[in-house]
Amino acid sequence: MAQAEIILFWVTIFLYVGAFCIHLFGFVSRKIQAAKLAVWIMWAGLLFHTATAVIRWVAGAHPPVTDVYELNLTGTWFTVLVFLIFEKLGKLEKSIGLVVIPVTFLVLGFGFMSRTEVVPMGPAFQSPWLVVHVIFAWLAFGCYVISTGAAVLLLLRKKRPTWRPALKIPEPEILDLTSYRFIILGFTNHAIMLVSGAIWAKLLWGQYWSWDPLETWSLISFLYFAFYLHARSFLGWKMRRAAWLVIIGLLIVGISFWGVGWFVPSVHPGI
Amino acid sequence: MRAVHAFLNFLLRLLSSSKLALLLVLLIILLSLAGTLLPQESKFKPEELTQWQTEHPAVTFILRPLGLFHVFYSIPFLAAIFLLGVNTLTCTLLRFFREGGISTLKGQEAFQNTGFIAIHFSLIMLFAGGFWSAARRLDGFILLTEGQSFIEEHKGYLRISEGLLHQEHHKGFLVRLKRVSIEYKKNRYPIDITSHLEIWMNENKLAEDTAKVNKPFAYQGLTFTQDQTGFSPRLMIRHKESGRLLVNSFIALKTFQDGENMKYQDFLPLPFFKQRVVVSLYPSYTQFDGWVEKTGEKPENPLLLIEMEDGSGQVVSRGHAALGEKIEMNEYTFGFEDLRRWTSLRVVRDPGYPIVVIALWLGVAALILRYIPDLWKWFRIERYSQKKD
Repeated sequence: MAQAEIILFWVTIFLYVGAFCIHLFGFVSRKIQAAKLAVWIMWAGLLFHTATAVIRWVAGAHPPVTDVYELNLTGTWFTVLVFLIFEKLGKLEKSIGLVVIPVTFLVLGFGFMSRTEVVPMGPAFQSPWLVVHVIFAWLAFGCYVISTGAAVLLLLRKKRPTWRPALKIPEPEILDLTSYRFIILGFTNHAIMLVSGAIWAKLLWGQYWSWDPLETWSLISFLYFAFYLHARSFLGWKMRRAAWLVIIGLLIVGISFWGVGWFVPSVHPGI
Repeated sequence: MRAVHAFLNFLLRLLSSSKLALLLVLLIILLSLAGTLLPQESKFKPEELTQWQTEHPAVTFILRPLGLFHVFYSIPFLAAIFLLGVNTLTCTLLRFFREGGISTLKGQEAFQNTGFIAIHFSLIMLFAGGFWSAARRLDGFILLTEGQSFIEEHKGYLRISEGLLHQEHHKGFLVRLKRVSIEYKKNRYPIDITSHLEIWMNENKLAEDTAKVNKPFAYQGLTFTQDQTGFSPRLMIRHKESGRLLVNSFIALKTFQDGENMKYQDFLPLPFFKQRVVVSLYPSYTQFDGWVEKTGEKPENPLLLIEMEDGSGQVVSRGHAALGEKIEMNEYTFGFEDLRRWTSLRVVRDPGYPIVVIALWLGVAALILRYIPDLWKWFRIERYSQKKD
């Protein structure tokens, strides 16, 4: 890991942690300006985050997607980017950042604790499907994190209906809808990730599905969100029930990305 | 007659129930969890699985009859998938006809309804393609050293598994491995592996092509996918005193990932050895003060290392030979005569794959179609209303 990359990485972490602290301060002390400042600091964090990823890309001469550290670096970049773009478009409340930022720096920190040495990209990764597969995987993750953010706020509001922090927290119905919409986005990206993965697996291993633990967990999380969509449509599970489903869903996604490799050997590269 | 009618009604209601669908999805999730957490026959070596089962007798006693050591091929799992397929089909058809048939695909909710139908149709296609793959597939492994050939017939495979409906119609052609080329970065990391193959039949060369990682070679419905590679040194072993030739063949050494490096090693399971003989290869090396050290993965100046171990695994004698050299160890003379590469190829025939690919892309397109109106409303109408406010 180059010196410049280490510095940029820590500046990124520092900015994200700073953004979270300011956000939290604004949230509890009812200072709306603090939330705005936190979002600006997140943009600055994203800038340094991008620089870290670019330096890594140049040093390794390949996109940073080959090991846990690189995957986490790229994944969190997508999460923050999706959050900031939707916030800028006025489709998300700043307060959801209170969930998005800690998830981001925790995932980044987890990646940093693994091997960070630059390793050339092995033959298995020399495929155009890699880019498609990874981008959609992380877009899905980003959407699920944002959806969870909305779900957490919904549960907070539902728990204390009279609670009125200064930050503009939308009505529970709007939070429920936001959470649902990000699940739709995440689910669609998840589907493209699975399809591209299956096609890549066919070229690489000769079979599109091998019940590998990581593959299976990815399918489990996909089926879980299919369950969520059906339960919402046909059983009328909305608001609190749906919010809990989303939070549990993110845990399942987290296990798929980081947990499975710890317990079961997988042929899947990068975990 | 009325009872039959009532029963059929009940069956239809059951099969088209969305609660049944949710239950089946949950069951598949639970079984998949079991499949990843418990040792599976398809992923573990038989001896490892037996050891696990011996260490956990009580759990094994419960799990074995439930088929949880081969979850993804067990009757409960396959039945759940099959039922989910039937449920999806009946749900989709009933909803389609109940809501007005073709007319639902027009009007205000045309996108959503078309998307909904297409998603579920793609799922049915996926189930069908998956079953067709499982029933008609051929999945085999071959291992060839440069210059060696393989005849495409059942016994030619190192390992083969075939679907229940796969008929034995092997092609009988001959596949010859001409050479294996590997591109390295910094003489250390393989970045591309290519097996150069020829297809022969009745002494006529029919085709010549390469199988690379991520770029399989397809011929007559069979796909040759590049798997692992390694080194095959030709070893000549003679009895030192009598000069009797004991072995003269290529030995495909196993390839291991040893930290950042590759390791090429195997032991010789030959009955006449009193000790365990382990053979390793350094593709290129340097020597100082009597020590040898591996310097890279390219076979520029290869060195063969031979170790003899006693029953407790202690090395009792050790020696090494460069290419073309001989060494004497105990009562044997080892000659390192030649060095070639081996390659392992996965050979697959999967007639269900095209159906699966079409189903997958149809599913993605349908998903987008189903949710476009919701997202469109979110992006356009709600924004407009915000501005208006």
